[in-house]
Amino acid sequence: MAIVINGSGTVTGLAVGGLPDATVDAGTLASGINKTSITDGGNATAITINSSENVGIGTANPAKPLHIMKTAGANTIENLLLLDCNVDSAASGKGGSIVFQDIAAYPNTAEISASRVGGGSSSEVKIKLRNADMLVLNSDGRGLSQFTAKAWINWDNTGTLAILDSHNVSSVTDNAVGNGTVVLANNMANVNYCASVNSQKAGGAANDGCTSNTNGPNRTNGIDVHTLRLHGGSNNNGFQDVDNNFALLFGD
Amino acid sequence: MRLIYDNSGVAAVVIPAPKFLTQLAVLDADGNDTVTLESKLIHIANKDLPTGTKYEIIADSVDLSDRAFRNAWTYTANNAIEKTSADLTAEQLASYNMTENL
Repeated sequence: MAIVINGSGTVTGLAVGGLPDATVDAGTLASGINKTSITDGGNATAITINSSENVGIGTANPAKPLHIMKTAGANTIENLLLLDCNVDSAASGKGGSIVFQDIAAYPNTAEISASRVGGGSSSEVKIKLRNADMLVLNSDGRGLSQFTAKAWINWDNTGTLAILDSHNVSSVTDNAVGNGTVVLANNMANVNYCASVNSQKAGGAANDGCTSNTNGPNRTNGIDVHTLRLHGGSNNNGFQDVDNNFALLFGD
Repeated sequence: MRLIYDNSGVAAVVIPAPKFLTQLAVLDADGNDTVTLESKLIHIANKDLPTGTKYEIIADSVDLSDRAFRNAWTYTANNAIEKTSADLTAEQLASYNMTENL
């Protein structure tokens, strides 16, 4: 072990210059440390730097360049690292990131950032690979990517229309029998998204079914959905109210 | 509560998504929602209806369960309570990714 800094609350643990370490003797480390910040007010070792140049906080045997350890109890999540963009500043859209790099010729391997959205209480976590957005998790519950649904909904319009569950939908409009409009809470970026709709009706004969389709072109704020009855051997086919109407949207 | 308006001669009924209503909540220090349900419905009308649409807010107690003549429902304006959908603010439009309206 090259250096041990004892967290006695004083700088006595920084008396490292006397150690037989050429780097320390040259003053490189001593001049780079703000001595007053290295305290923990206790008697345990606060920071350990071993001969492999691994720094340990809470551990005397750091296994990686930075190793932070605090024993967590059962079903307890310990806050091991605090990245603070200055909570006393109210700047809009501010945030911080962790960056991974591999080869200088390419953009960053990955970047994970967390930021405030605009000037309100919303926040987001963004994961980038080679500087391209891969996934954005928004505090309103949306996961924005090419592989997560931008919106989905299940509603029943056999009586008073009821939204059974939904994601990123602000309302459904009951236009007529078997005719609904889904309006998104947050618009799609363009109309080239994929919308899948379907339906299910309880009961009915073996040759009785239903199907749904989007009516008219996609709009950035949602879709119109028609639900139709398909009854073999009868002339009762047409628009129908059913127990479950499903809509699922993927895209930008 | 729901919204009702005239859609080409047939009454259209707007059902707000419960999760979106929750999303519109503004909590005080005690965790109580400070936004009334009516205010949330007005917000949804401004967001989801074309600007300038005449509409009314109707209570959940209004029975709309009998759909036997659904396509014959009509909207009759009550001037005393009728409202008109308005524009969202630029900040709201941006927050909903309604960039085509900016």
